[in-house]
Amino acid sequence: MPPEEASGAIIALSNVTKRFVTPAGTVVALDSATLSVPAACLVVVLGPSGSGKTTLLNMIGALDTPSDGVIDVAGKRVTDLRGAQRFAYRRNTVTFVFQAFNLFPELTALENVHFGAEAAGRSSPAEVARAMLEAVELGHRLHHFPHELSGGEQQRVAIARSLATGNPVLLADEPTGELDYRTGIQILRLLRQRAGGGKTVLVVTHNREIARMADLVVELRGGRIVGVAPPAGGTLDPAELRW
Amino acid sequence: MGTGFWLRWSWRGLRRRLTQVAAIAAIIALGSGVYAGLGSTSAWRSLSLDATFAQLRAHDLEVASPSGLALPAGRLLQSVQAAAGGAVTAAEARLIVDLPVRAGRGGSIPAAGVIVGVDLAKGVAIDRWKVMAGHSIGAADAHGTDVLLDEHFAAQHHLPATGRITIAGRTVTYVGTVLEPEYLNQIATLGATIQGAATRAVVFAPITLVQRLAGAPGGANDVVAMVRPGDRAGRVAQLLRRALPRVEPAIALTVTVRRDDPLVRALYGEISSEQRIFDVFALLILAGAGFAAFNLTRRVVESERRDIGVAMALGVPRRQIAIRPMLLAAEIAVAGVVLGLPAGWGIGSWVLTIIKARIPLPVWVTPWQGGLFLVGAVLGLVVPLAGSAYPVWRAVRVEPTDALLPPHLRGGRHRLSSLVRRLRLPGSTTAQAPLRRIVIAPARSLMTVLAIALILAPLLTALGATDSTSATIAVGNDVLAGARGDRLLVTLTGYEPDRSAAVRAITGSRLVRQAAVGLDTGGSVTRGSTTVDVSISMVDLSNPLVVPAALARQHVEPGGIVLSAKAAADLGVRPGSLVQLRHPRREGTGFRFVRTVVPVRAVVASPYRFVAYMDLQDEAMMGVQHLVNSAVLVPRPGVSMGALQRAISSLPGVASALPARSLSNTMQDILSVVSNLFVLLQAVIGALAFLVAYNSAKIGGDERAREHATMLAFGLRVRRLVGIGVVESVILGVLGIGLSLGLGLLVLRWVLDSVFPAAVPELAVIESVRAVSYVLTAVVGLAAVTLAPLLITRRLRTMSLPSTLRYVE
Ligand SMILES: Nc1ncnc2c1ncn2[C@@H]1O[C@H](COP(=O)(O)OP(=O)(O)O)[C@@H](O)[C@H]1O
Ligand SMILES: [Mg+2]
Repeated sequence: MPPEEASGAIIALSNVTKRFVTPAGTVVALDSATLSVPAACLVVVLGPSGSGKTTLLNMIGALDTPSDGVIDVAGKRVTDLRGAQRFAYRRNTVTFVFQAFNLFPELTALENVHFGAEAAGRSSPAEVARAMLEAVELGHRLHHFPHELSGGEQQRVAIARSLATGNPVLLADEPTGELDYRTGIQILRLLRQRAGGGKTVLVVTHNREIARMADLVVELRGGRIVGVAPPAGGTLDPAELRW
Repeated sequence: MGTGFWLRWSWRGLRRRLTQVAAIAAIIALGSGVYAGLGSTSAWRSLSLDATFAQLRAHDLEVASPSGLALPAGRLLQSVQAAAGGAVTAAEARLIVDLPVRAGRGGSIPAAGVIVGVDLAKGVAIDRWKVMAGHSIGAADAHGTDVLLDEHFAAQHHLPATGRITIAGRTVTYVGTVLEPEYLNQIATLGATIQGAATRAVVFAPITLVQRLAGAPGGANDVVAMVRPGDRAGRVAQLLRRALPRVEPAIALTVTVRRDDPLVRALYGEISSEQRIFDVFALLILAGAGFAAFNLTRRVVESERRDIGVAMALGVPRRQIAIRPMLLAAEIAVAGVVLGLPAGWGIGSWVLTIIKARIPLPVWVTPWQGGLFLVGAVLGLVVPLAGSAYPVWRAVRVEPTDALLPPHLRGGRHRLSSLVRRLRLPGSTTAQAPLRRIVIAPARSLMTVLAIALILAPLLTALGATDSTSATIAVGNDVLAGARGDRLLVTLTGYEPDRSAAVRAITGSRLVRQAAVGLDTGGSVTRGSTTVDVSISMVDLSNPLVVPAALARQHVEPGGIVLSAKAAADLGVRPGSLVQLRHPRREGTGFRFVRTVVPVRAVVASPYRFVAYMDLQDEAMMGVQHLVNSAVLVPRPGVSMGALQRAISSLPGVASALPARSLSNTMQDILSVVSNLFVLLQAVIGALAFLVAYNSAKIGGDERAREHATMLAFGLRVRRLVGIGVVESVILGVLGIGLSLGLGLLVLRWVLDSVFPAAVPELAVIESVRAVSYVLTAVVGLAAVTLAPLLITRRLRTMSLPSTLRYVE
C-alpha cells in the first residue's frame, strides 16, 4: 500500500511522467510529478497554458495513460487498470466537467443530467437528475436544450451531470474558461460547496486569482510541479475573488 | 493564396478522409461500372455475331425445299446458278432432314435431330463450322460415317468431345463438337412447342450418309449461296424467287436472305432486348449510387461548414472558400472514375464469362468499349460534383455566425426539437439515443432512408422479375406440356395421311394407351395494324390430351382460331372478334401463304403469345385433308416414358419423339442469362448497400466524435456506443427496406408493363414475387445496416479522448 493512502490521500501520484512522441519531436508534458491530495478538499492546479495541467487531469481521470509512474485514486491503482476496469473506474470513481461543456446537443438539460446518473448506475436516476439541476439553480430550465441555454447555464448543467454520478472525485478542466467573471464565480461557488460536501474537486486553471479559493494549490510549470501548498493568505470564499 | 496552398490543404483533408472518399468513390464506381460493364457485353455480343458470320462465311442466301422433298444435288445447284444468272458466286447443296437422335451412355438422351448432310468431297466453304472439341471431318470422310455434333447440345448434356450417337436407330461416331453460324439459336420451334438446346441435336454429316438415312440417294433439298461482291442479297433473292418456279416447276422452293432470316434477327433481337432490361437496372443502380454519393458528399461538405465560417469571418471571397470543398468533391469524382474503370472492366468480364458459358459463339470479339466508359466516367464525374455544388453554394451563402456555430450546438435547432422535448420515450437516455438522433435531424435521416431504399429497390425488382418470369414459364409449360402426367410429343418428318401405315404404327403401338394426331403449322394473325406470329396446333379441340383442360371443357366450335391471352391482348380481340389469319395453303407439290378471315373462338390462359389452336376439321382451309404431322401419346400403365420414346423414335417417318416434360426447361434456359446476371446485381447491390451504410455510420461517427468521447469519459463502454449506432442504423435501415420493397414493386410493375412487353413480346409475364425475394432483399439490407456501424468500433476504441474532448469550439 502506498504511503500516501495510509495518510488518507484520495489521489496520489508518484513520479508520473507523460511524453508525447510526435514526428516533430518528443514533448514532455509532465515530468516526474509526485503529488498527494487529501479527500474532501478543493485542489486548484495552477499553471500557464501548456504547462501540463490538462495532461495531469486526464491521467487522473483515466482518459490518458502516463508513460511512467503510478497513480492511485480512491484506493485503486489507476495505472494498473486495464480495458473494462478503466471504464468502470470512470463510471464509478471520477467524473468530468469540461471547459467546452460537452453537453449532448440532442438531450435537454434534465436528460443530460439524467445521463450522468444513469452512466454511474444510480438507482432512481430521474429524481437524482432533478435534484442536481435544482442544486445548480436550474430547476426552471429542465426541458431546455443546450443551445437554448447561456454558457454559464450550460456549464451548470455539466456540473449537475457530473454531480449526478455521485462519484467521489470531480475533475474540472478550466470550467470557467469560457465564462465571464460573474458566471465564473457562480460555477466556482458550486464546486466549492461540493468540496465542502465531501467530494474531492480538482479544478484546473491558468487564473491565479481562482487559486485563492483552494484548500490546496498545485503549481505547474513546464510539466513540473513547482509547489504544493495552501494559498498564501488562506482560503477565500469564491465571492471574494476578483479578476 | 495560390493554388498550391489550396491543393495542399485539400490533400491533407483527403488523407484524413481517405477511407470515406474511397467508399463514396466505390459507390460511384459500382454504379458507373454496372452501366459500362453491362453495356459492353451487349456490344461484344453483337460484334461477335458479326465476326462469326464473316469469319465462318455465313451464306448470303438460302434456297430450301420446305416440304423436305429432295432433288438430285447437281441439278438443284445448277438450277440455282441458272436462275441467279451469274449473281451467285458460290453455292453448295445440302440434304437436311429431321430424324430422332439419341446420345449419351446407352442412348439415354433423346433429342430431335436436324441432320445436315454436306458435300465433304467438294469441301465446305460456306457456313463453315468451328471445332470446339475433338476434330473435324473432311474430304477423306466424304463416304464415311463420322459426323460432328452441335456444341450447344453437347454442352447441355456434358457429352465428351467424341462418342457415339444413333440417328434414326443407326449408330454413328461423332468425332468433334462444333458451332456453325446457321445454328446459333438456342431455341427452335418443334411442332407447336418450343425447344431448347437440350432437346435439339444438330448433326453435320457427309451428305452420302444422310442420303442413305433419308432414302434419297444423290438428293439435296437445300442450297446455300454467296452473292457477287457489290450485289445486294435482297435483289438476287427477288431474281431467284421469280426465276426458280420456271426452272424447277415441279417443286416449291423458298429463298431466304440471311440478314432477313427471323432466326438471325432473333439472335440480334435477343441481345438488344436483354440490353433493354439491363439498361433499366444499370440506370436504377446508377441512380441509387448517384443519390447516395450526393447525400454523402453533402454531409461531408456540411461538416466543413465551420472552416467555411472561419474563412468568411476572415473575409475570404466566397468563390475562393468554395474551392476546398469542391476540390474534395472533385477528388471523390476522380477516385470514382479511377475505380470505375476496373469495376466496369471486372463486371464486364464477369458477365462475359456467364454469357460465354450460356451462349457459346465460335468467335468472340471483345474490344474495349471506350464510348460506354466515357459516358460512365462523365456520369461518375458529374454526380459528386453536382451533389456538392448545392451544399457548398448553400454553405457559402449563410451568415458567418451561423456557419461558425459549433456543430455540437447546431443539433436540436430544428422545429422538431419541440416534439422531441415533449416526446417521453421509455428507457434510459442511451436507449433513447438512436431514436432521438433520427428525429432530431429529420432531413438527414430521410436522405439516408431514401438512399438505402433507392439502392435496394432494384434488388427486389430484379428478384421479382426472375420470380415473375419463372412463374410465367411454369404456367406456360402447364399449358404446353399439360399439367396432368407426362406425354410423348411426336413430330413426323413430313405430312402423312392420318390413316397411313406410318401413323398407324405410331398411334397403334402396343405401348400406347391413348393417342391423338394433329397438324402443326406456322402462321400469323393480324388485326388492324397489329400482327402476331403464331404456331398453330390443329387438333381435336375437345381432347384434353392435346389442349388445355379448360379449353377442352368449352366445346369450341370448328371454323375459328383459339388464341393465347397474350396474343388476344396484343391484338385487342376477344372471343367472337374477327381476325385475318395468314396460313399456308397447299398448291401443287408445295404450299403458298394466303389470308383468311376467321373468328376468334376462345382464348387460352397461355402466357406464350405464339400458342394457337384450330380444330383438325379446319385443315380444309390449308387445302389438305386427313393429313397430319404430329402425334401426342400416353404410355400404357407399366410402360415407362423412356421405353415408349425409344420404341417410337425408331419407327419410320418419326422426326422426333420427346417427353413433354423435357421441353419445359427451354424458356428457363432462355432466361438463364438474365437470371445469372441478376446474381451479379445482387452482389453489386449488397456491396452498395453496405458502402452506403458504412459511409453513413462513418460520417455519423465523425459528427458525433465529441459526444462519443464524452460518453466514454463517463465510462460508457464502446460496445454500448456501437450498439446505439447499430440501433440507429437498423431503424433507418428498416425504414429504408420498407420503402425499398414498395419502390421495388412499383418499378417491377413498370418493368413488367413497359420494359418486358417491348423486350420480350412473345411472353406475357405474370407479376409474381416470392416471399423469399422480399426476405432476401430485407436480409441484404439488414446485413448492410447492421454490419456497417460495427466497422467504426475500432475507431471508437482507438479514439484519443483527450484531444477529442479538449478542443474548445
Ligand atoms: N497529443 C499531444 N501531442 C503532442 N503534444 C501534446 C499533446 N497533448 C498535449 N501536448 C503538449 O503537452 C504540453 C502540455 O499540454 P496540456 O496538458 O494540454 O497543457 P495545459 O492544459 O496546461 O495548457 C503542451 O506543450 C502540449 O503542446
Ligand atoms: Mg488545458
